Amino acid sequence: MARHTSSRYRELTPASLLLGVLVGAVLNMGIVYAGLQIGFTIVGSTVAAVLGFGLLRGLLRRGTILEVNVFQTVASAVNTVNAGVIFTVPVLFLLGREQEIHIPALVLACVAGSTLGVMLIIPLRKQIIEYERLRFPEGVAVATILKSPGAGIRKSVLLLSGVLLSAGVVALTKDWFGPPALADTLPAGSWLDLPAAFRLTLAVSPLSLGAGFLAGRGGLAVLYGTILNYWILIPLCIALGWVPAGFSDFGLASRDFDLAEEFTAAFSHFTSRHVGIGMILGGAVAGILIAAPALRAALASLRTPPEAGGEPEEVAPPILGGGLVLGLAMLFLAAKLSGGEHLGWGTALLVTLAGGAWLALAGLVVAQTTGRTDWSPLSGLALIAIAIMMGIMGTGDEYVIPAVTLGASVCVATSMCADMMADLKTGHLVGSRPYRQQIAQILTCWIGPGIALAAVLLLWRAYGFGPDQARIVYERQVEAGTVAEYLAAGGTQDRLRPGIPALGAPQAGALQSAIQIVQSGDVPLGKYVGGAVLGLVVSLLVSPGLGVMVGLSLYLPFDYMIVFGLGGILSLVLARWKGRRWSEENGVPLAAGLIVGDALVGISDALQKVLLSLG
Amino acid sequence: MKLLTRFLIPLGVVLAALGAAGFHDPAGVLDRGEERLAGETAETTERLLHLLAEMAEAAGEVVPPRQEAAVWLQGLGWALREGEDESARLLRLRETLAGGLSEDRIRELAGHFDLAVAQARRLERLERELARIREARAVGGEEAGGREPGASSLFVIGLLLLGAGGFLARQQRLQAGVSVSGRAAGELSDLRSRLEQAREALEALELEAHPLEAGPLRERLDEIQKGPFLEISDASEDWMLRLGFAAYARIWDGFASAERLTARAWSMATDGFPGEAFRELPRARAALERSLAALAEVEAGVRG
Repeated sequence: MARHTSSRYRELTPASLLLGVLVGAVLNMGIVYAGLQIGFTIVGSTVAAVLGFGLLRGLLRRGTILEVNVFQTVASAVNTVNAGVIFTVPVLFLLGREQEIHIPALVLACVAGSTLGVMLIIPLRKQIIEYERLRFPEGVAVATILKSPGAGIRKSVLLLSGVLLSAGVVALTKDWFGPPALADTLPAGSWLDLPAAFRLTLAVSPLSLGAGFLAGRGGLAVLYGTILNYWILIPLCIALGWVPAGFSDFGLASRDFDLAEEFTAAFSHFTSRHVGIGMILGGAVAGILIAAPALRAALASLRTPPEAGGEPEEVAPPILGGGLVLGLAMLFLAAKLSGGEHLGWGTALLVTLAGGAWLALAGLVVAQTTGRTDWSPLSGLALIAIAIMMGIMGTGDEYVIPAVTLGASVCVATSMCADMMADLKTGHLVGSRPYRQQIAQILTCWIGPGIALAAVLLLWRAYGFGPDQARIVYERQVEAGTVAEYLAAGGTQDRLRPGIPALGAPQAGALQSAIQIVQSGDVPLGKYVGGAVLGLVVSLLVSPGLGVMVGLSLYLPFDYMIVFGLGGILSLVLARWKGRRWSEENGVPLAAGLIVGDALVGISDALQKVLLSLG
Repeated sequence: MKLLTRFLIPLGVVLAALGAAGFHDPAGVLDRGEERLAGETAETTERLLHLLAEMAEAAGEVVPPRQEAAVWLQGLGWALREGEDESARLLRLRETLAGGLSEDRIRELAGHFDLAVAQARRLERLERELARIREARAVGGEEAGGREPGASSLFVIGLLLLGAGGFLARQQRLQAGVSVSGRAAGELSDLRSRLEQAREALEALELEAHPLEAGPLRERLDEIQKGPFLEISDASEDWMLRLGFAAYARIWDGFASAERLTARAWSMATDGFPGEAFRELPRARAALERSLAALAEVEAGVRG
C-alpha cells in the first residue's frame, strides 16, 4: 500500500463537487423518466457510490474514501429531489392547468423546499444518527461499498456476490431481451391454494431482503405491522362487511386472486393508507416528546465551539438560521406568485408558515421512517400538505396551483431530508466530518429541482403523460394536422404510436383524485385522527418507534414489506446462531450487495428506456 | 402477569386499528362510491369494446354489441377452458381463424382475449355493485356514511386495553428496577469498563514507539471497532431505555464522536495516509474521556 506523507488527505474537493453534480444531474433525468413510467423513484446513493469509485479512484486515480463519500452525497442531493417533483408537479398538467403554471414560482418553491429540507435536518443529525442510532439500510450499504478497499478479500467477495446475485435475479424480471423470465412477484398464496383474502405474495426484491437484514430488529416491527394489516385487519373488515364500495361480494373463502388484488388496492386507497399515515404522524410526535431531552442536548451541541484552530463538527446555527429565513422567504414569494391575485399577502404568509411547520414535521417523519426501513411515505405527506394548503386558502380551482406548488416544496424538502440523513449515516460509518458533508449539500442542494422540473416539462412537451396519454398525444396530432401520419404509424386515440414511451405518471394520477376528494370536502379525517391517536399511544406506552413502523407497514404494499420483515428475522436468527460479530462480518456485506445490485439494475433499466426513447 | 401484558397490548392494537379503519369519511361515502364505480364501469366498458373491435376485425366479423360479447366470444370458439394451456388455446385460435394471420398476431389476439374475459367479468361485478349502491341510496342510506357500526366502541376499547397493557408493562419494568438496583450499578460499571477498554486501546496505538505503517494500523483500528465499540454500540437501545434519554445522550455524545473519529482514522489508513490517521487518534481518545466523565456524573447521581 502506498504511504503518503506530505499530501493532505482529500475530502471536500472541487472534483468531488463538480463530478457529483454532473453524475447527479444525469441520474436525476433518468430517474424522472423512470418515475413517470413506474410511479416510484429509485434512490441513487448506492449507484452514485459505485460511480464515484469508478470516476475518482479508477479514472482519476486519487480519490479517497471520504472524497467518494462527499461525491456520493452531492450526486444523491442533486438527484434525489426528483421524487418530490414527480409525485406532485405532473398533476397540474393532468388537471389541464398547463397554461396557468407559474414556472418561476414552481422552481422557487422547489429550491425553497430543498434548502429548508437541508437546514431543518442538519440539527437532527446527532439525535437520529448518534443517539437513536437508526440503521439507514441504504446508508450502511453505501458505507460497505466505500469501505470495501480496506475490508479484506472475504468481505469484498461477499459484497460482489450479493451484487451479482441480486442483479441477476432482478434482471430476470425485466423485459430487456423479450418477455421477462421471472415475474416480479411470486403468488405464493395462490400456489398454496390459500384463501385470497389472506394475501401471500412475495416481491422479487433482493433490495427489500437486504434492507430488512440491515434493519435487524426493526424488521420485526414491520413484520408485525404487515401481519396486523393483511392477515388480521383486512380479514376482520371483510368478515364485518367493512369493505370499499364495489367489493361486498368478496368473502373470506374466495379463491379469486384477481379480485383480491383489486380489493387490496381499494382497501389500501380508502382505508389502510389513511390510518397508516395517521399512525406514522402520531408515532413521530410521540418520538419528539420522548426524545425531547436528547433533542435539546443535540441542539445544544451545535453551539459547542470547535477546538482552537480546528474545524467545527457541524454547520453553525447562524448559517442554519439564515438558510431557514432564506428558504421561508422563497416559499412565501412562490406562494404569492403562484396564487396571483387570488391570494392575498396575509394568506400567503399564513400558508408559508403552515407549510414550513408541516415541512419540519414531515422531514422528521421521513428521516425516522427512512432510518428504520429505507422507505418513506413521501406521496402521502405531500397529499396532506396539499390538503392543509387548500384548507387554509380554500378549495376553489383558483387555489389548486398554489396548493400544488407548496405541496411540491414540501415533497422536495422531505425527499432531501431522507437522502441527507442517509448520507450523513454513511459519513458517520466511514468517518467523514459532518461539517464538510453539510457544506457540500448546502452548496449543491438548489441544483436538482431545476433539472427535475426541466425534465418533466420536456417529457410533457415531447410525449405527454398520465393515464390518458394516448388521447393527449392524439389530440396534439389533430391540432398539428398530422393525424393521418399518426394513424398510419399505428397510433390511435387509445393506443400510443410505437416509439412513444408510455408515461402513466401513476402517482400524479393518485394525487389528482386526492385533490378532487379535498375539493369535494370528503377528506377522511376520522381515519387520520384515529391512526394518529393509536400511533401516539403505542409509541408512548409500548415502545418508541413502534407507532411509526406499524404505520409504515399499513401504508406500504404487503409484497415488499413481508420480504423486508423476512430479512429482519434472518438477521436476528443469524446473530443468535452464529453471533453478532459473524453476522456483521458476513451478513452485512452480502445484504449491502443485494441492495446495490437491485439499485444498479433499476438505474440501468431507467437509462435503457431513456436511450430507447431517444432512438 | 407478564403473559397478560403480552396479550393485552397486541389485542389493544388490533381493536383500535380496526376501530380506526371503521371511521368512514364524514359524508359522501355513497356518493363517492357511486361516482367511482360509475367511472370504472364506463372505463371498463370502453376497454372491452375496444378489444372486441380488434378481435372482430381480425376474424372478419361485425363488432358485436357489448351485451352479446360473451355469446359472440363463445361462438367464435375463443372461450377459455379451465386448465387449458397456452399452446392448446393458440391451436384452437389458429383453427378458428383458418390461417391467414401470423403467429405473432395470433399470440397478440390471445392476449386480448384474456383481457376481454377479465374485463367482462369485472364489468359484471361493477354493474351489480352499482345497482346495490343505488338501491341503498334509494332506501335512505345517506346517513350510512358516518362510520361503521361499533367502530367507535372498538377504538375506545382498544385504546383502554393498550393503556392497561402499557401501564402493567411499566409497573413490571419499575419493579424490576427497584429489586435489582445493585445490578443496575454493576451494569454501569460494565459500560465504564468497555469505554475504558476502548480508550486504552486507542492510547496504546498513540504511544507506539514507531508509528505503524498504514496496513497494520488499519488492522489494529479494525480490532478496536469490532471489539469494544461494537459491543457498546449494540447495547445502545437498552442503555437508552435504562438510563433515560437525558443521561444517555450525555454519555453517548462523546462515544459517538469517538466512534466516528476512529472510523475516520481507519479510512485514512486504508487510503495510505497513516500520518493523518494518527492525528485523529488523540481526538477520538478525548471524546471517549468526555463520555467517561459524563458516565461518572451519572454514576454519582445513581449512588446519591
